[in-house]
Amino acid sequence: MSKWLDNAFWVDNSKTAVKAILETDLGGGKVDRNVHTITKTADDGTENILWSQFFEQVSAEKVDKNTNERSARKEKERVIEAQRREETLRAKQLEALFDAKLKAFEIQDIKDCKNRQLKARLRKAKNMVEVNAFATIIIMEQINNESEEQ
Amino acid sequence: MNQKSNDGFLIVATRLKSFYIAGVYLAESIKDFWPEAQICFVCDEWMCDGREDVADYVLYPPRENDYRGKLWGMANTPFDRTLYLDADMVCEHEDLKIVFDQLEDYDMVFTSLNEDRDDVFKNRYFPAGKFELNGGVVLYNSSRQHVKDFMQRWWELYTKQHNHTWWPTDPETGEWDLVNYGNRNEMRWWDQFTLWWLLNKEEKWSDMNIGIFDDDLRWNYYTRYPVWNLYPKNPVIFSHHSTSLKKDRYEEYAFGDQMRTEMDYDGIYDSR
Repeated sequence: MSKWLDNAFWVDNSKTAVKAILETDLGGGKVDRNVHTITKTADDGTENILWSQFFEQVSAEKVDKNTNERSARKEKERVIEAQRREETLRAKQLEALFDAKLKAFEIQDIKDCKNRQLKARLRKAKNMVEVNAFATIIIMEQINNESEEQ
Repeated sequence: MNQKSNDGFLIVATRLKSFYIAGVYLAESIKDFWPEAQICFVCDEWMCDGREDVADYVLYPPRENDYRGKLWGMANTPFDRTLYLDADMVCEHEDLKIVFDQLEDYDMVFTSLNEDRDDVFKNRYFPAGKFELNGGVVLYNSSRQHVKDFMQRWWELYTKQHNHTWWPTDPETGEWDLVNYGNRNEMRWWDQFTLWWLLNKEEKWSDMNIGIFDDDLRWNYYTRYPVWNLYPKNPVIFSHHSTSLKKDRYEEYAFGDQMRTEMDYDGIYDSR
């Protein structure tokens, strides 16, 4: 005994094919489920007998409803996944920025620099370009100070 | 702003030079926004290279390379009201100046662990309970003796747990209860379990007055939090870079001749 589950959906907007699950009772509490793509016509252009069998059990309106719900769900999942990817990227960039700042403060000239204001600007740098720029300025200032002392 | 003369920030950076580097950075970032802020820096003497001078107090724990020198530091703060901060944090906003107002009459104030942060803290559940307080930022009234006693007890109990000499026992068998309290080996590295145990299971601390920071995300904002649906109402004050201090990534430049690996450390610690 087999039956089509009523959660089928249209494969595309042409509504000439549905994706559906055929459930077969194997007896003894065992059930077999297979996913089918049912086209309106067979390869030779004749009517597909599965198509009419399916629509005897499941209405086209129900397939419409399933398709709309599925599309909405997929769109929501796509947005969440995109957000998640963006979040992961953002977190990695922030960690890389923090790493870069710590490494900059390990450079001897920056360690030795007494210009608190410049060092604060390096700590507050919003991106790698600013980190590099302020690190360079601090090193330059140290070099200039050394030259003046000599 | 209700700052008293003996309020201060506590930063602990024991065991790894990378913690020291980050801790100094955190201290400097606090001074960027609040030059008069008092800071106590707890670290191991071997890692000092002079930059710890940014702090007003420098303390060395009695046991070098303590895995949770944090807890010793919290018990030995020189301040009357203390804000403990994990070393891998950065101050980003001048509103840190209102922090001591948040203490009100509480003994301790935390940021919370709750369901909307589960993506970041996956291991907070165990059969007998769940962690609800984040130990990464703790504001506490260190002028109260029972609060200092709590910190001391927390350090002692954590040390026992870390050394495999303490774990909750099954009252019937007397054996360690591995069913209700989760994976003890996994918990071993964290101070969260002992915090939960003391506040939930030891009668002595049942009257402890615990608060949660207002708009608590801004006091401990993990860079891994999803900004889409988890962001404070007001600007972030302390960001938390908990993934950045993976020790292996820092060894190449942070450790130098004084590199100490986890394995070395465990050998030293467990033999005591």
